[in-house]
Amino acid sequence: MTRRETWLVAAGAVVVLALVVFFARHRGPAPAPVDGRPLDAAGEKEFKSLASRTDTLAHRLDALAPKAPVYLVIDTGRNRLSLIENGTETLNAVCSTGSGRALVDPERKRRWVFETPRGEFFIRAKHPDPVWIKPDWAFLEVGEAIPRKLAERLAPTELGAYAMDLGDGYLIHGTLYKRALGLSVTHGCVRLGDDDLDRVYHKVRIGTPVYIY
Amino acid sequence: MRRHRPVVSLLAGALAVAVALALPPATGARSAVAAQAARTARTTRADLDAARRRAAVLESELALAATRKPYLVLDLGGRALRYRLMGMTMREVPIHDLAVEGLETSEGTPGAPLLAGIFTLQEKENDPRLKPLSPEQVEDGADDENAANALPPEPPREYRLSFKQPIAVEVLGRETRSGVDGMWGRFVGALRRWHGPAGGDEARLKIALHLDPDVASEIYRSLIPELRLLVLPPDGMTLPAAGQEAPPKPRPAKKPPAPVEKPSEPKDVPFAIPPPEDEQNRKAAEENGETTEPPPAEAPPVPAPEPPPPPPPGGGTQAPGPGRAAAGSRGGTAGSHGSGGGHGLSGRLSRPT
Repeated sequence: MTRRETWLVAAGAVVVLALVVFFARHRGPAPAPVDGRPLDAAGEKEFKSLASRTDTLAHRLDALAPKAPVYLVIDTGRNRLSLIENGTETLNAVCSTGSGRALVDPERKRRWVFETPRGEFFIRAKHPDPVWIKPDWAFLEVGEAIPRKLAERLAPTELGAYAMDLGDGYLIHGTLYKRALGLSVTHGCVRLGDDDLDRVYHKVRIGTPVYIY
Repeated sequence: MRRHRPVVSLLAGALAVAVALALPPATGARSAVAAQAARTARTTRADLDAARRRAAVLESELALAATRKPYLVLDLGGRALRYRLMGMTMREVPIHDLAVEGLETSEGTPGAPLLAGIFTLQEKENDPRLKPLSPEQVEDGADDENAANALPPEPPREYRLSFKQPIAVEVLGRETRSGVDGMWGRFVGALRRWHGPAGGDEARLKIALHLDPDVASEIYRSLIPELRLLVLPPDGMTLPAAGQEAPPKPRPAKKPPAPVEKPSEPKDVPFAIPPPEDEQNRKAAEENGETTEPPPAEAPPVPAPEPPPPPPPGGGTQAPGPGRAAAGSRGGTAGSHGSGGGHGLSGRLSRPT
């Protein structure tokens, strides 16, 4: 073997070693092999107990699923609102949800996080022609002074034709900013386009569940 | 060529060894054993292990579902990320590739937390809630009717998630194009895998997920602090002891909507505010001599009161709901996720929240 061949072998060995390290590192520990040995009496007993328990747990889990004929599902990641009727999605609408941004009022040491809440909610009230009373943050975020008179806070067209109350001040409502539909830009409410809002408003009732994730 | 034959043979042999090491371990043997067990139709120890895993998953899922909040299920064996809420799969995302460090070989009778571990999200990287709008941004937004519209946050495609427990999760949004176009992405992905998942030395479990870039952004948007993550190890493996939580206590069902009260008219309002529509319908029905409608069929039956929400993370002073702000209130705490950005509505002025 010449000197050149020796170098080639050495280089090849280094490459192969690097490959081995590269692959072996990410294999992690090998999973335990499948144990095909039959169970003894104690094992059989545990297995039967576990089988019974899993059936019970699965049944209880299924029981938590919504039973309502009509409900809403809101996906904050994709900004979509689904209307489910009798297990079928009859509307998949573009919506806007919370931006997740924070706003601080240094003067009065207040802090708001504009996040759409997650979890199970219910339609608590339905308002046609809602009038929005602009809260403090609506003025703070545009650098305006907070008005003292209530009349200066009223915005009769801001929320669109309808509003559905989810509780804690969060609403599903219309919007003037239709360009922003599909973006996470709201202060926590869920905005819908006019047609979708009309349809949802007339499909839901007070007590209709709303699932937000 | 003949001179190099020994070298080529040596390299080929070494390459074969490397490839053999990289292959998934003993899949053929596993399936043979399983087939033999099936032929004998006897319950095996593998069946018992599977039953233990299923029971552990269901125990955790049931507890998480009963909180009535969404949670994530990271199925490492099934390579899927599932958004679940009250037992329903709201969304399932395939994981193109993943790298995991910290899994252990399943031996003996592992406890349930090692077969289905619950972890709580503490923070996502560059969370917009951690960077309040600056005075300059407020100034910039002054010309716009809605500063939030003027400043839509752009969710990242690659980010790290930190948890209350010593685990680290990294999400990598990568194109999965095939052919030459995707070569660079695959090369970078391989390098990232080689480097291993991110996370400090204190992290006992490190996971890197390779998702579609758009999906990674969408997931980012939907993540909020306190979100629970249920991690399921692959068959034959267990999670390390990394401070997994005990399954949370069930959250009582929310109150069903109370009968709608007639909102009081606020002072200085130049016009009457219409009462909620159902109130109008009920009044009209009563005037016509009809009986009041029973509660809607879909109304939740359990009227248990909701426990007070935990204090928001970070300890920042939270403002009340906007309806209260409009009414001149100052104090109070917001929802469980530190929210408080809802809208004040005319009909809510007299209502406590």
